[in-house]
Amino acid sequence: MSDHTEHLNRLFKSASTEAPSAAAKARAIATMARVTSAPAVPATRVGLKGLLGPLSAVLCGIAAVALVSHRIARVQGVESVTPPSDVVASSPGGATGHGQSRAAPGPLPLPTDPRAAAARVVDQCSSIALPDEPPAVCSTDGAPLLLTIVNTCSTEPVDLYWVTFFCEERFFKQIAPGESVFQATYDTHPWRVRDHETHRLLKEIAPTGTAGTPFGPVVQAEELNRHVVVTPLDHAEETRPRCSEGGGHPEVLEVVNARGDEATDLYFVDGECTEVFFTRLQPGEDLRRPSYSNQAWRLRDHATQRLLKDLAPAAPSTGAAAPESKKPVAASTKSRREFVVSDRDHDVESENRCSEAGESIELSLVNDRSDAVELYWLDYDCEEVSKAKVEPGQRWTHAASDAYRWRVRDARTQALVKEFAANPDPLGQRLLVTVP
Amino acid sequence: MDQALPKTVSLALTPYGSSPAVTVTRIRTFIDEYYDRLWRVLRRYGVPEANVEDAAQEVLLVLARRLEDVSPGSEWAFAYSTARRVAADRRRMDRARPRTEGSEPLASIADPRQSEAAARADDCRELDALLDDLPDEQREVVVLVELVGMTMGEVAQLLGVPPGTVASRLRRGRAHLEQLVRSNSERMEQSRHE
Repeated sequence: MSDHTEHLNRLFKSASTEAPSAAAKARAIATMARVTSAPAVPATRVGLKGLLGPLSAVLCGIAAVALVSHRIARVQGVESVTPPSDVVASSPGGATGHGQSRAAPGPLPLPTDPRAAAARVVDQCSSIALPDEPPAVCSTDGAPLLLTIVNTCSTEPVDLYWVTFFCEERFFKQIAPGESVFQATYDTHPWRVRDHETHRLLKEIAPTGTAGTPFGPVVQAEELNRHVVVTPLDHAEETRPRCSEGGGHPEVLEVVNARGDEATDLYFVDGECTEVFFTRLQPGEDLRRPSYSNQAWRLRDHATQRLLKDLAPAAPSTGAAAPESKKPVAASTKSRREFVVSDRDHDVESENRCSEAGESIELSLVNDRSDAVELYWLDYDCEEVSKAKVEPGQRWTHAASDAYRWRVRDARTQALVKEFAANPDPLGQRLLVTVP
Repeated sequence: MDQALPKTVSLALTPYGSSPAVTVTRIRTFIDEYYDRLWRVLRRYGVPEANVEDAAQEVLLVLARRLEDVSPGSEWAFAYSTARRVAADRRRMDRARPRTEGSEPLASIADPRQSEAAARADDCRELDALLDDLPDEQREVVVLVELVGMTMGEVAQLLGVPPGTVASRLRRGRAHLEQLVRSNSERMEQSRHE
């Protein structure tokens, strides 16, 4: 068989594996069942969106009151949509993203009975419907950005749409309840999130590269603000914790238990500075949940209850801290930044982004991958300069500048795992953790 | 089959003139048996993946509307000809639309975990470009046999031509594609040397 025949066979094989998803088939069945039992609709030139029109009309009627209140809220200058108060009260932990007011997010009440909490959140996202107008902002050229989208709805899958250069919505993927997806995009590309079943608009993800900001209460599309990997190396001095406070901005907290065979307990530190058990993370388990930047969390070894990590708010407390925590801490001459790379990390190389002069910091890299990684400094001409090889489970610490750029590559394959700078950067933000 | 139907199906007459139970059952049976095939035909006739679901829905609507005229057992033949027309219409609209180079978001190509999917997508794009260069009668046989998975007998029946004709179109189609692959490969080799 010639190379060309083989090549052609490969193309055939690739094309033959393309198939519709089960969800697409199910949607076709459901839609046709509705259409064949509904009043006549013009059938020619009617696409999927057209079919949803009659359904939307019914839904619009139901949602009219909600839409009016959304519009009023926006006119009054409130960015986020305010759902009915009973829905707010039903949010587990008060920080699921649903019904959060950016102006005054409250502390995080913890569910006492998980079953009761689960029962309360059944229809968590069902009453959300943003004004569904055509996209006002289209995609334009911009800088690469890695977007993390967390579906915090308790029961509803949602659909992610990209708003194209022609301001059309293009379906991209479905996100199951509780699922997080990483989406490579550009900072000038808008996205929309719709309820999978009803097609209701749940969230607008405005481009970060323009004046707009994301709004909508259901799906948190911000970068991961606190990504914490707890490793066998972690242990912390037992001090009185800093209390959680009101305010702050919504963020996504991710905790990965990479401690070999040891379970880890996650505690929420409430407004009284009391640690309240939140959940247990089995070895290798990964928890991702909404939080606020002013909320404090702690990680303890499950067996011994030894303190492993104190996830205190990044911003200094202004008044609600416990007396002990107000004691002056030995000042460090350099701020410390810690980055963690895990097996899930992968990245794309930026172009023409080199190191620059900046403030002195102490930089740490924790390798939470199963393979060794090699750390490269991108010099002022964007050339990679090898700095260290970090074995799995090891931490590398070095003095650096916060404006330096770094690349972490798999030591064996040299595949890019992560590119980052210690200062806020679209490609590095989600990993940024300040070591207390 | 009826038991699997959604409970919300009404028993009123459908807009299409036949009893709803019959219409729904025929459509449901068609989707169960032929949806994958319909999807692949639309893809290989140039409908972008993001729009295939929509295009398939369009075909299903036409089928539902004309179901009375379609004799039982001929649903696929009807849907296939409709799918070709729908795909052609969409390609025509697509051509009329201004294009922006590099307009796709990074999406899957930026994710090494999806590199296999990206490679498959590249293969599909390459194959679609090759199929575009085939004469129509060869293209449809290649698509139906090699990519949709129909037998030559089924294709002969669908197209109303003798099985021998299908076989010869398939042979010539494959030879033509191999020739195109060879030409492309030589062209790439040449440009590399330049």
